[in-house]
Amino acid sequence: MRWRGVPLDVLLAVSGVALDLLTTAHAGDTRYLPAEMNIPMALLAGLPMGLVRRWPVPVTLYLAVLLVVTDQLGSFTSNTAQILICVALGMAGFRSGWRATAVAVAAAIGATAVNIADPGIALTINAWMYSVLLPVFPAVLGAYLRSSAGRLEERDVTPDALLAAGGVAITVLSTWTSWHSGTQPVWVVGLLAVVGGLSLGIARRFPGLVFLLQGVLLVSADTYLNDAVNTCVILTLVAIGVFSMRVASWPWTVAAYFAGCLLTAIAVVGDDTDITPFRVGVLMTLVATPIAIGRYLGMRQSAAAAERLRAEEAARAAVAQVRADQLAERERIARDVHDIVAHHVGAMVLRAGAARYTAPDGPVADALNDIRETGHQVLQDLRDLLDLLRAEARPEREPHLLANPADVVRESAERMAAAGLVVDLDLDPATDHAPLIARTSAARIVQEGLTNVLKHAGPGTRVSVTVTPEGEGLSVEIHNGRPPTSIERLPSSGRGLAGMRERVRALGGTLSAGPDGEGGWLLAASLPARLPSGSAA
Amino acid sequence: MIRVLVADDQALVRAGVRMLLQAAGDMEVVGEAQDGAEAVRLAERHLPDVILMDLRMPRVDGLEAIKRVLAARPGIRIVVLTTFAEDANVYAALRAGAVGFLVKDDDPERMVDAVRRAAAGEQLLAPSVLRRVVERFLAAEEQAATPPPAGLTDRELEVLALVGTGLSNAEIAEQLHVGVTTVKTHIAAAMDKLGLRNRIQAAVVAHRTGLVDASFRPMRRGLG
Repeated sequence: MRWRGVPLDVLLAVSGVALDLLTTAHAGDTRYLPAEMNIPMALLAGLPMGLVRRWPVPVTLYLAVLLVVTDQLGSFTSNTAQILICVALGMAGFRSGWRATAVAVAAAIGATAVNIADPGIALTINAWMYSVLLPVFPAVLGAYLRSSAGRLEERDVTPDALLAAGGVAITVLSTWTSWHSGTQPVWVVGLLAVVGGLSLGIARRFPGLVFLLQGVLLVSADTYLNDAVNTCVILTLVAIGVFSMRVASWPWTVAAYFAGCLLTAIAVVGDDTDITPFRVGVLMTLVATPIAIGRYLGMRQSAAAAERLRAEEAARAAVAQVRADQLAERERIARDVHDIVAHHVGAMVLRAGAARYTAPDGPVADALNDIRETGHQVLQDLRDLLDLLRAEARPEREPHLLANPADVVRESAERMAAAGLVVDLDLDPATDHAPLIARTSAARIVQEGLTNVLKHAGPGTRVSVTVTPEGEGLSVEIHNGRPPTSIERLPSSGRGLAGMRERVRALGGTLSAGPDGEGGWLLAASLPARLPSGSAA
Repeated sequence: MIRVLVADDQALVRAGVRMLLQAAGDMEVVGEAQDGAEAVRLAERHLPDVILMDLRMPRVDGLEAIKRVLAARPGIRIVVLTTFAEDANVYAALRAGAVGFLVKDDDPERMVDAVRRAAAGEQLLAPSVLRRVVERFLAAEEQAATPPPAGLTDRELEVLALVGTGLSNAEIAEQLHVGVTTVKTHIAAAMDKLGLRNRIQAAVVAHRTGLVDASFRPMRRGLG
């Protein structure tokens, strides 16, 4: 349960007290209690409701005791206790285990039996049935609500709590003055009012059931308690609104509409009412209003739900895309590195084979033969691996890397110089000692970076490429000056840079790209020698 | 003496090839090129019989170098030296006129033999490799079978079919009970009529025109 605790508990306690004040307001002094005791009695009956959500079973037991005591005292508070005990039992069914609930129900049955027997009704089988059914029903309902709670798509119960509180407020406030005037005991009318109001709290879960219940209440009120009919009409209209909000099917909505018209007609048409087309029109419009509101809210809600789903889907897709990009870039790194390693192993095998060819037989020849054989095997394995990586590769082919990444850097510089860039290459020879994975990535970054400069700044731009050792890794800088002409810039796809960023991140390095503040552009990458622990995939 | 030029950007490979070929006794390395441009220059200067050419080289790559060398000196036999037989550029190189290819971890004996055979104008590819090459060619071209080439004699068609199975000239001669020279004459005539540059292209034509079936056996359609 996610109800915000304390305010709700306070509300429940206040409602309990208020309910008792309303039920006892018409009562003067009773045999044992003066009228001044009404307020303390109201506090005694109502305040424990503040604890009912946390300890429903003890509260039920307390109310059972209170019911018996007040009944024996002849206090009207027994009516309140009878009503509240049903509410507490519903809560017990919802929150507590079946054993504790059974104890509470048993106590309530006993107390209710005492209460019913009191006004002079004989303890017949009939009366026993009431006193059993009355406590069992809310407990079962509570248990049922708990079992169905998990199926609710939205577990936000705040609207339910508001509906229930509003319902109780309407029913109790609009009918309490007539509770004493009817033929039924006060607690019967009061209980119906409270239950009718509370039932709105589950209208969103069981719109049909609650609508039906309101209909039954309305018809019975029309028959037995005329003063409450108007309240019942309001409740019925609210139930129709909730129904048409939750039930999206048009046939059911139409059925609910006509049922609502019928019920309202039952309520407002008396023996001496003239039925005019105008009145019929007003009635039908009156019933249509909550349906329209309900439908509108329902559509808004499902649109919001669809929007939420779409947003979640989009977020998931974005995450998947990022992951796919990461994997793709890592595959490219693996391919590059394996490719180059295979080249070197091939050269070693060839060298060893040639030496073996010229060497006389002996231990040296054997050693060369071993090297050759192992190298050959490694190369076969690398080929298999590369086939695998190539099969995963994207359609657009990247240029193959040369055996030496430094050659790749020099070659791109020359190629870009031929294309019109003024390239100033500073390739520190010490970078040859950096790990292959860093050198390979540096070469790819230079390739991509220079291509970008040519694409966005155009021929004639001066660009300096610096590759230097940084710790055991490498640092790459591609810095171009202001473009010589304000050429039409090619639209940037952003993919090249994104790919580089991904590559650098996969290696645990950093990459920054942005204007240098003087009209040029600076791309800087730092490639560590090895992955920081824990970041390897 | 067979005069060989080695073009590879890896010093290890150049040193290995030089050592190997010099040990063979009947061949010498007349030049070492580190990239394609240098290979073209040295080919022009030394006029080697055979060039062992790597494909991935800085500046001018091997494929481009093969095209330039053959454009100027069609008589030079170029053998591709590669790490990956599956490299798409290998097929492009064969298409451009290379007579065959060697994988860098091939047996040294095979390399020496390949250079000799290339210098003699011979077939370089073993049947198993030829099969792979032809399959790649066919897959790359995705062409349906076309009718047998017109203008060839029955004997030429027969020899062409056997080339398509990957047999060497000597093996073909043995199978047809003729001399090797006769086989060479037939092949040369067939390739000339079809405008083909090398045996690989001839083998591809044999496959594409249905002279050889998918399992590399000659189809005996009214031949012999």
